[in-house]
Order: sequence, then structure tokens, then C-alpha cells
Amino acid sequence: MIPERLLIFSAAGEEFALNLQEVCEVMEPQPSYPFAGAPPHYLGLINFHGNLTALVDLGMYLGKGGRGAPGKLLVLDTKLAHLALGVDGVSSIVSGETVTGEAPGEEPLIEARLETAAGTVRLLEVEALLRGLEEGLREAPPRPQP
Amino acid sequence: MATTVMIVDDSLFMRKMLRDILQEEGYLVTAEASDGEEAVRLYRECRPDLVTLDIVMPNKTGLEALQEIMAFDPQARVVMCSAIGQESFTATAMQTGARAFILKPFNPELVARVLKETAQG
Amino acid sequence: MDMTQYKALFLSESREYLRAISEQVVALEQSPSEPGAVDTLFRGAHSLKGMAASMEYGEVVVVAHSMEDLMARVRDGGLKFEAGVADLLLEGVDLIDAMLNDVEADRPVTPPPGDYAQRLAGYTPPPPRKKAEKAPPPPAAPASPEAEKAKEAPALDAGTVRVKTELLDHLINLTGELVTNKNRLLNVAREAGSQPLNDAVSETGKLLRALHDEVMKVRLMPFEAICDRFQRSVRSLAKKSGKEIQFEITGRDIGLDRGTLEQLVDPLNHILRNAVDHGMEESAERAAAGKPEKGVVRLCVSRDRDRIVISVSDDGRGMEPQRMIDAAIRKGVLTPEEGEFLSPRQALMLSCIPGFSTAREVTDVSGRGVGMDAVNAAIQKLGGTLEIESEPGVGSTFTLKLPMTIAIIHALVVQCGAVKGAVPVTAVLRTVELSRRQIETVGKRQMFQLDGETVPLLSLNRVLGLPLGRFPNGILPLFVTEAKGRRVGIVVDRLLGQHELFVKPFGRPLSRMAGLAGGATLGDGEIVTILDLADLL
Repeated sequence: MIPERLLIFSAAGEEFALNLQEVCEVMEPQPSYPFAGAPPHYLGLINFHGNLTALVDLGMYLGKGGRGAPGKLLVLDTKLAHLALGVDGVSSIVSGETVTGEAPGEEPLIEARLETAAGTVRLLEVEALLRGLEEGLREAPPRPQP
Repeated sequence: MATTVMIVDDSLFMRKMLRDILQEEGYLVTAEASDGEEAVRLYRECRPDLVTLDIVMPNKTGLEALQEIMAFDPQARVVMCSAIGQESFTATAMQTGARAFILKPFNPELVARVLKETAQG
Repeated sequence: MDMTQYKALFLSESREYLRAISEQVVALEQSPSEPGAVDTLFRGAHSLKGMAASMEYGEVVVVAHSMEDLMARVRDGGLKFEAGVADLLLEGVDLIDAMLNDVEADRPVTPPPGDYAQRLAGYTPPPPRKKAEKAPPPPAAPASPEAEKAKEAPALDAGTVRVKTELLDHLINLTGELVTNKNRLLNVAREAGSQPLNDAVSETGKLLRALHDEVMKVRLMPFEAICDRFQRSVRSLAKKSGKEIQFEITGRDIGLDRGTLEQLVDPLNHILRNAVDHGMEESAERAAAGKPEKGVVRLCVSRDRDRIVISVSDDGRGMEPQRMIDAAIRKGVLTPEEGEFLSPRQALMLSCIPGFSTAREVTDVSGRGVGMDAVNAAIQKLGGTLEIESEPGVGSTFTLKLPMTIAIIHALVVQCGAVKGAVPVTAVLRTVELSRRQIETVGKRQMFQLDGETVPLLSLNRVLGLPLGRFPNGILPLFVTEAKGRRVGIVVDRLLGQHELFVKPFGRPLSRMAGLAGGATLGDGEIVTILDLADLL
């Protein structure tokens, strides 16, 4: 199903979309505080209205890019998670009605490929993303350095 | 002046429901008791015009409380609340001086009618 | 009449009745000569039926009605209360509980098995077994009127209100934010060098502490709230293993934080399970040892100043420290040399090492999977400690000491590389600044001397996967903690002092990360993670 409204953004040079309902704020980058033991796509922790929120470099997590300073932070709905995604930038918000084509995602975490006025975007499936991140944390216990 | 009522039931849920029904009908709930012992004590203190009295309760059943209330005030207007299957208790209660009984689950109109009759009668 | 407004009240009160019923069932089985308990059971089922009928939950009515009728037969003397009756009633409790959950989730109610009502209506006790009659249990001492009263579900007095738990959590959150903000103000006052401001903020701090204590008290629930689960699990374990067990709970009225209470169910169940399965001997073995055939398991809750003490003790076979050491050596978790240095107390704590178990066989009920290591980790997560005492042939006692409240803790903040972490002071025995030449190298391990004991050193940087510290001035800061029953020195880059922290749990995805027990904001806005040493080491 195509969400009512889509937030279109870029990460590691590619265009993605999120269901706008699953995003609670788009923020300017702010200082984050490092914590130990997590995989490298975790940039640190930020304080979002009192919620300690993990900041993940989305491009890096998707294996599409190196660790650069994010241009914008997408904070997910706090009812879903305490997670902010670091992305390159946000391009637009479009209505689901303007989507002219839909194809299966054919990639993990991607629900569908959507044709929009802004071009082809990959719609991220938030639940799959969260599950993937959680599994990644379970699989990667802090590894003692030699 | 509004008719005053004391509600006696060990279940908070039942008391709340009955209270809402009674308030809707313009009664003034002046006391709530959650067991038979408390009912007797509060009756002496508050002297309500009407009492709704549950039968199955801890620390004195409704029947025991009824006996004590009637002994203290033979004019007390007590309506027993009973569930289906408690007909034998209802008969005993009526002999002891209860004016009427209402059946659980409560039907608001029926409760209102029985209480009105009891208050006037 | 719109009944939806009564749903929340219906659910909470029904659950109270269910809890009272399962508790009374177990109590009756232990001492069947208690007329008060039979009445309470009957009333519970009766009230449940009445409420469910008002809400028009027909399936709940059917089950409650069957239970009520069965209890009426017991009350009127036609039916003896025995295990068969208890099983049917507990089955009913579970059925209704499941239906209440459906109601709460606005799902269609799962209908109870069609034959439940029939089984109760047609229930006849099994004929007495041919086996030699057991001596009747000693008559229970007549309960005093006060004791009888105490058993009744406490009536709600007019001075109380019901508050949604989310509201409480919100209050606590706000209080915590205030504490964090106070620390910020304190920093500002220090920078500004203003003594009056400093005094005012300190005073605010005291008031906040008092406010926090009051708010936390609201979250307290009596231990009673989780008792029925233990009674039921001990009952079914005893039944499965065929052991005769008397289970006693004291201190039911002691208040604990709601969150703590929930987190205690599994660890306590595990300890109780060990006590019944492994601690307790078979009747024959007990008789041979000159012990009463019926074993006793006690669960005691008490308060010691601002800590809650919970102990589980049994009068079973006890544990032999030497056997624990031998087993640990066999499993390769301990070298024979290390084994020689262990005190009996330390040896008993070996059971908390992951994967360690001295059970000679795995029975259906022995709780595979979670061992004492999981119990210990759960207790530490709550900021508590676990102690084990045991005397072979006499019995064992597991003692849990927990803070009354968990949201605000005192923690030692440490720096490792670029990362700051906090360790609850309850896990810190002391801090030490060690000179490099005090370090001894034994084989591959580095050790130091502390109060005449050789204590191994471990780098927290290494544990966390961070670059190792340099220590140019030759001084290694460390704190001493206890892991796997022995003391360990944990070396960090810097000790940043003790802080009062408002701990916040992590949401998804970090809530799944081992080794982190939440996070907190320091006075300058910096975020630190609370390190869960039990998980990490």
C-alpha cells in the first residue's frame, strides 16, 4: 500500500522515501555522544525531547556509503523506536496520489520502488529496518581488541 | 431534597455502575460500603433513605447485615441486589424486612423503577 | 447504558479477583480446613460472574458460573476440596485470564473449551488410592480473626484514587528531567562563581530528592501482587517431581517498585524451581536423613533501610562448595590453582557463571536455558546483588538485595577512549589508582594485590572493543567489582567521579543490545550509557 504522504530524501547519493507518518521530525545535525560496543553505523546518542535516541548513518547501514557527516537527521516516530537516521538531505514531501508506478522492492528493507514526480525512490520498510538493526546488535557483541 | 442512598457491594465495578445509574436518576449517593460490617456501621452514621444491599460479601453477608440494619431501624428501606439462582436468599431477605430486590446484571430502567417505588412506598 | 466506560475498571477488578482465587486455591490445598478460604473463593467467582454479566461477556460468565457452582458444592460440604478441584479452578482462572486479555486488546474473546462447564458440573473426586493411607496433615492452627481479615482482598477506602500507570511514569520522567536540569544549574552556578545561586540550587536539589522519593512511593506495589505466580509454580513443580513441599511466603505487604516487581518474577521463579527440583530431596532420602518428609521452601521479603531483601530458603540437601569447584574445573571455567583460592562463598557463586550447572540430569522441569547466570544478570540489572549461602545437608538460602527504587541511581562515571560510561555504585566495591610497578604478571594475566588477595586486572577499553589507554604518568585508574564470585579490577582511562543519574531505558533498537542497562544525561547535557557489568564480563 502506498502511504498517504511520502518524505523523500537522499542517502549515500540515492533517493529513498519514508511514510511521513513514521517520521516525527527532521532535524539539523546536532552533537551526538559516542557509546561503545555497537557496530560502526551507530554514530552515537542524541537527546530528542528527553528520549535517548540512537543515531544511525543510514547510507552506511545499507552498505552504500562511507561515514560522512549527515546533512539532516530523520527522527522516527517515538512510538515506533528511539532512532534517528542520518541522511544526506531531504528533497520533498509528496502526496501518495502523485505516485505513477509501483514495483516490488527486491531488496531487503525496501518495501517498494515508487515512480514519483521526483523520479524513482525506494520506500523503506521501517519495521524491517528496526528488526535488521536489532539483529545486528545481537550478532555483534563488543569484540575485545587484541 | 434528593433521596439519599447507600450502595453496598464488595465490587468496586458494581458500585460505580450503580452509582452512575442512581445519580442519573437524581439520587444522592451518600455512602458506599464494600462489606456487610461496613454497611451496618455506615447505616448508623448516615441514615440513608434507601440502601441497595448485595448478598454475597465478606465480613457479614448481605443477609446478616440486613438483620442488623432492620434491628437498628425497622423503618429502613432496603433493596436487595441478587443474581439469578439466589431465589432462596431473596425470600429470606423479604421475610427479614427487605422492601424489594433487583437482579444483576442491572437493567437501569428496572433499577430506577424499583427504587422509586421503594422510596415512595 | 454505555458499558465501555466501565471496561478498564472491569479488567482491573476482575484480575484482582483472579489473583485472589488462585492464591486461595493454593492456600486451601496446603491447609484444607480453612472455611474462610472456601468463602473467599466462592465470592470471587460469584463477583466475577456478576461483573462479566453486566459487561455482557457471556463466555466469562459461563466459566465463572461453573467455578462458583463447584465452590458452592465444596462450601455446602458435598464435595471435598482436593487436588482435582484445585486443578479445575486454576484452569478456570487461566481461561478467564486469557479472555480478559482478549477483551483488553479488543479482540474477539477466545471461547473456553466446550466441556469445561460439564467437567465441573459432573466432577466427582477420584476414589482414594489403594496405597497405604497417608497420615492426615496436621490440623492447621485456628486462624486469628485478624489473620482472617488480612486474607480478604483489601477494601478500597475512600481516601484512595486509581491512577493510570502511564501518568505515574510520566510524573517520574518529569521528576527525573528536573534532577538532570538541577545538575545543569549547579554547573552554571559553579562557573558563575555565585554562592547564593549555588545555595539556592543545592536547596532545590534537596527538595527534588524529596519529591522524587514521594513520586517513587506512588509506584510501589505490595509484593503480594506477584505472590500467586510463585504459589502456582511451586505447586505444579512439586506435583511434577512428586515431592512434598510446604511453601511459605512472608512479607507480602512490603512495597516494591512496579517495574522491579515485574522483573523479579522470572528470577525468583527460577530460584524456586531450583529449590524444588534440585535443592529438595525425595521423601525417602529425607526420611533416611532424619528430616521431616515434607520439605519447606520459604520466600521472605523484608526491608532493610532503603533496600529490599528477598530470600528464598529451603531445608533441602544444600550445596557442597568443593563439588562446585570440581565441576567448574571439569568444565574448564576455572583452573585447579584458581580453585584452591576460592572461599566457600565464592565457590557457591560459581553457579552464576554462564553455562555452569551442577544438576546431574536435566528433567522436564529443571529450567533448561536460563540458569543462575541469567538470574544474577537480571538482579544486577535492577541494581541489586545476589548472595548464596548453603550448608550441606541442611539447606540453601539465596538472598537478593535490591534498591527500593530504580530510576535514579548513583553511578561512577568513567572515561574509556572517547566514550563515557556509568557503573552503578552498587557494583563498585572501591576505586584504586594503581602504579604500574604494583602490577604482577602471572602467566598471561595481570594481577595486583588488594587487602592480601590477588585480584586480576581487566581493561574496560578491551571489553568494550575500544583502543587501549596509554597512562603516560604510570598511574592506572581502576575500580574493583565482583564478577563470577570473585573480585576484579577494571582499568579505565579516567575516573570521572560519582554522579546522581536519572536512568532512562533505551527504546528500539538499542533495547536489544547486551551490556547496556539504559542511559542518562549528565549535567552538561552529555549522554552516558549505563554499563551492565554482569552482561559485559
